[in-house]
Amino acid sequence: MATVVLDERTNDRSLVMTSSFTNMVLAGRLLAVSRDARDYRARVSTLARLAADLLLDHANSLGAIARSDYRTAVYLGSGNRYGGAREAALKMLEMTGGPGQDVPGDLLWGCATVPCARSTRRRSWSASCPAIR
Amino acid sequence: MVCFLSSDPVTRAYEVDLVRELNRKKLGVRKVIVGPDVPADIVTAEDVVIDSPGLASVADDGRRRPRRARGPARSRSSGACTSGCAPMHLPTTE
Repeated sequence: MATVVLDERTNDRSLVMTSSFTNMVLAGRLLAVSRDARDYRARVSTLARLAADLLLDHANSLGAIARSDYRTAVYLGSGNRYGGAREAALKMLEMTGGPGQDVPGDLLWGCATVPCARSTRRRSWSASCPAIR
Repeated sequence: MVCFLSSDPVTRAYEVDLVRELNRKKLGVRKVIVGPDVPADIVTAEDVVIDSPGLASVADDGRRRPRRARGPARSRSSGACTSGCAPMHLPTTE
């Protein structure tokens, strides 16, 4: 039997709770897949390094896309990346206050669509996004 | 449009084919394509590719689980997937 104890810092105080999600996913991977703690640590270290590199290498290009003019965002992913796609869509929903729409189920490539209500960005979160209360 | 490409070769073939179709039909203004070894022909000038060298070594955990995407489907060319590309444990409810 395995026990995973998440650090108190994973109880993220931010609005979108990204580190909370990330740590739960990592814990889930350990419980569901990994039987070898050393292998698991190596995988997590690799993922952490890739995430740090991503911020260093792509922050500007992703920032440019984020600032461009669009009204809808679509996230595609299959397998366990489907969960990541849904979470990414939820992040967009939470950060923009847009009305989210999910297309789950039997698609080969799951799709989560977020009409981004950018004009409502500054509205109260409690009013615009009940999902995060 | 954000495309998280699978590391599973069968699933990847289907996804890449779908992106080609999106490009052909000019659906989606800009794409962020996430995954290792993204084929150059699916990337347009406006797109951003997050290839994260080393991501392939981590791979999708889903490929360790039993699934039906084995057998004849592997020999098919991309885009011809029907029952061969069974989804891997997609959640069916919210």
